[in-house]
Amino acid sequence: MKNIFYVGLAQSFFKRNAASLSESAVTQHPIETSKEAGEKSGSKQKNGDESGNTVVVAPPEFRFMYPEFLPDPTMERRNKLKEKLERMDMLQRRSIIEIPEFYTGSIMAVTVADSNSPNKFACFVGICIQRGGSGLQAWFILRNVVDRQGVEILYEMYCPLIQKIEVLRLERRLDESLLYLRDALPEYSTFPFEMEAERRLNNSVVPINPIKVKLRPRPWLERWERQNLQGVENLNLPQRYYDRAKEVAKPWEKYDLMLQYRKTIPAEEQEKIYAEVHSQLQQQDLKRKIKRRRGPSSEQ
Amino acid sequence: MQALISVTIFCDRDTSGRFDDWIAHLEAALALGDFDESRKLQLMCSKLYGEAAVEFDTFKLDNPFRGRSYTEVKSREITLQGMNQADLSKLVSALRIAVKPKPRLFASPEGPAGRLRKLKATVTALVKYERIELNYPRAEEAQGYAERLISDAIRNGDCHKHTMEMADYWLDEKQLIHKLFKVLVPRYKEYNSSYTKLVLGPKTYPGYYAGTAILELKGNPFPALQPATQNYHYWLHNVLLDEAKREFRVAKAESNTNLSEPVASKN
Repeated sequence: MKNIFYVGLAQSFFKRNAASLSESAVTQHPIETSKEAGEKSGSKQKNGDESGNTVVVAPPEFRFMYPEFLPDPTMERRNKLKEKLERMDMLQRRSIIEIPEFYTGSIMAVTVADSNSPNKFACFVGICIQRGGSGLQAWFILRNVVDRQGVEILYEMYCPLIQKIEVLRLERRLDESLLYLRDALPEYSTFPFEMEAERRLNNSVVPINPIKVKLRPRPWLERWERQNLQGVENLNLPQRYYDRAKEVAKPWEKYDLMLQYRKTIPAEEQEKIYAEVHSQLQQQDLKRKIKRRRGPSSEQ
Repeated sequence: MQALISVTIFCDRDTSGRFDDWIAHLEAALALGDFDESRKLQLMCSKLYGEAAVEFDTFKLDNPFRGRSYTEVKSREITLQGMNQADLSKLVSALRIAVKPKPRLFASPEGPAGRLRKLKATVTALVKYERIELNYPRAEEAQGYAERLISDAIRNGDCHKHTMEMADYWLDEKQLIHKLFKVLVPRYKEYNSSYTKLVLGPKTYPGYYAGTAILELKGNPFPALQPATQNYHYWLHNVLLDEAKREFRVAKAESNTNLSEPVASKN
């Protein structure tokens, strides 16, 4: 059962340093990291401006690694003070617990403090099918199949009950939301609880898993043919489904510039936010790396 | 705090309805600590087991859980998606105009597609003529789209595929795409303000309730609509007024000191 999953795993690599991506590749991936991102600030920590003062700039990939630091783009809910306080609290929480970088499609293990369970901790392993929320309400959903029973758990990343979040396999998929796994064959969502963390050879690259998932026969939970999914095999539906999907589709939304603007945070604001936050995040990262290196050596 | 983390159990359609799978379902629920779910299952199992003890190999239940729980899950997802995460797929420049939280909907027989078609015509006209007079609501919406187009062109340049697609859509006449990248981008590259200006126009009776507006690109070759602000600080009447104000303040201060020290002699 599981062999189907592993045999189909061909690794295609996605460079974080965006300047190397070609234009055609940009349109395929849901994330646009065109040469603008590479031109803009690069991965320099400090840029000097004309007056000679150093301007702190975070590397452009920060917005993919820590998307929950960006506030909710809905204009009615923006409040600079609230966002700043939330960022402070988020950094405070991150200094206690390591919340690693992960993407939809990564396999993760989460341990939660649970007063009702016999050993006071509840552990769950699963594939991240969706993530969302901003600030302290950032959440992600892990899916696994336990005893032939599909189970999904929604975790709030900054919940104080969470003891440990570990990424067992860091990778991305062709879609941002893997909700179609609910209608896929169970082997695509099954991961053993005893799975161990996989070591990556190349740390600067997050691999994209180009797997195309097979769905179970209809009925499905959602109309997958209307959602332009890249990670699913040919749905093989009768033509009337596709015709109706075309009738119902909104092709003009792709060109609606103001709609895009209202759904996102402008680049200048993003830079400001990450400049504020990145030095602390890097310090925390560094401390953890040192601890990890010292850990095995101190035991000896 | 337990409420923060939610568990959803999905019954796989093929395996539901048979007695041994209810047991598996129950065990899974217990293992995950969802006691409400497990109690519900235990009740159902005891009911069914009592009635169908002999026939448990052959009875088939229409799984009641899947349909019900999915609507709950979906409604929860919809409320969660109300708490949005910013879209990361595109990097946009900040607009330097006031952007309203909700877009204006323009009624059209074609619906939302018609709205964009009309705004496309307006944006094309703005780029072509650089100053147009039209009704205020359409002008305000078109201003946003024009600013977005120009800011994207400045940020990404003409070799960027997405920007080119947008320019191709929004500008009906193809020579205007050249004008956008060759004329407007160099003109607005160093600007720290918005690229367009919206001036309220005459509102003649009977006319349209919102009145007219004039939407123009800054730096256009036409004479200015509003006179440039002049430095009026040194005009005679302002000089005299400032002096009069100063005298008044001084006199008031002196009278205050006199009131507080009536006995003190004045020299």
